[in-house]
Amino acid sequence: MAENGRLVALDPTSGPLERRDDRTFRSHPASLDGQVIALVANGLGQGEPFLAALYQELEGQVELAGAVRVLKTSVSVPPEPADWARITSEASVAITGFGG
Amino acid sequence: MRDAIELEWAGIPSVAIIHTAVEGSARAMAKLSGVPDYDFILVDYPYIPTAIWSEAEIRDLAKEVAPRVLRALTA
Amino acid sequence: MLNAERHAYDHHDALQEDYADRGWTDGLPVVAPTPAKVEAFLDAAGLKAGEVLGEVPTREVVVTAEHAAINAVMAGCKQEYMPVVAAAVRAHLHEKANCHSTTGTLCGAAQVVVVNGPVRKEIEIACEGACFGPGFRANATIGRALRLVIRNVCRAIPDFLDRASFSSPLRYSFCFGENEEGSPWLPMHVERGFAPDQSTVTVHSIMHFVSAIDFTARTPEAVLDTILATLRRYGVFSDRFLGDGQNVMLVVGPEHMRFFAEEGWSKDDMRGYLWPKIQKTGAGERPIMLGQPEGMLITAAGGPGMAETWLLIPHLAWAITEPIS
Repeated sequence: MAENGRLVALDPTSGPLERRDDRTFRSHPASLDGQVIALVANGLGQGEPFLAALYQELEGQVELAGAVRVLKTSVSVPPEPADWARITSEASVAITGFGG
Repeated sequence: MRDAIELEWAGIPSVAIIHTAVEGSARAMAKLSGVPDYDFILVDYPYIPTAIWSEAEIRDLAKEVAPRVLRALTA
Repeated sequence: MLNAERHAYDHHDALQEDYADRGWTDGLPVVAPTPAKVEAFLDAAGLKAGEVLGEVPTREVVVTAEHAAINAVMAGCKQEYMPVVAAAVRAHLHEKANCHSTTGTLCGAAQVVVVNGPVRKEIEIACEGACFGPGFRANATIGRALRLVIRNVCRAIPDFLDRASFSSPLRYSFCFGENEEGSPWLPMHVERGFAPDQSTVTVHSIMHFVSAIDFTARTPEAVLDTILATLRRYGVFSDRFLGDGQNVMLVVGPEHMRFFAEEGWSKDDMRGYLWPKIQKTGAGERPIMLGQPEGMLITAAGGPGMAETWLLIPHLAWAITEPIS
């Protein structure tokens, strides 16, 4: 299609690769004492035992109140709704991994 | 990566642990999610990106990462 | 009413350079996606520009018919291919086709598009000799259109969300048709519940593309033993997300198919022979994680000469079959 003699063509993408989001994050706590940590493992390699070992290390350094352990059903999908509900209702902070 | 961001939106302070080999795609996901400056913890070699690690590597990496997680999760 | 941003150029070469510089191509020249062409493609498929073909929620991507049409024009499709492209995009964006995983994975999985039904003849989809390779416009451009959608719309770009260590030449395009007329078997789409005269497209994300070659096998059992031994070297992996629905695809060439035809073996007979052996993983063998015999999709394609069956070994995805309207 020519507009004013020029070739006009369409952008094939779904938009810019970067955007800004107005949602704010909650402030991180001053300390992990008394916190319940969600350990969200994606199932890649030894990621789940690694998160378990990480929790033990953290337990040795702060007074944690417990863990919510989640192993996703596949490496690159979100947690199942039931696991998501467990995390958001029982945990106060979270660690996700392992991104490889 | 996206899990950590979605948890933050849900009010759960979070941190993602990512290998340097895929740092680019983690930053891309942060950009797409509208939080280009979202920080995460990077793990480098000799730990291999597919997380196929020995028990000793798991222990050593946990020790190495723990203080960084503490800093990332607290104000 | 088209929604995409418009770009204007003084001449065609400037468009080629700009599209390449912006990262909108697969490295090869593209056909200019003018508004008139895109509208013609949408009309040919009976689609409205804003009709949603699918989503990739993790990437905040919604894929519309307009997106698919723009990329189909760029790929060099004819407008009569658009219904096939739209169906292929729908299939790839099915939840269990696992777009976010399969297009970002380190292993560089490729998407295979297999066409069944009358549309193959209508638009000349190659199903016989050389059907995997270049030279057939429908095969080449339909496969390419899907990959351009994956790149441009689903954002699977190297150094962005595509983390492939090597990637694959199959990611330029991989599309072929089942040789239904030259096969004694029920076509794949009929086995999957579609009427013989309903054209369909099946899309699967594959991690390995391997030939099970055997010139000495002279019986169905011997051919299948070679197929199984080859499959065992790679394994077929699944996870809880995929459940029992994982698939592997066997593309049987005419030299191997002849033995099954002569002995009257159906595709189900082939599965019946393989299934008990698949259940037992021996020492040093990789598991084949299929939930049911029907997980083995068997198609007939290719030309005479090479005694081989091609194994399309999956990444973490089901093969999804969509009707072409």
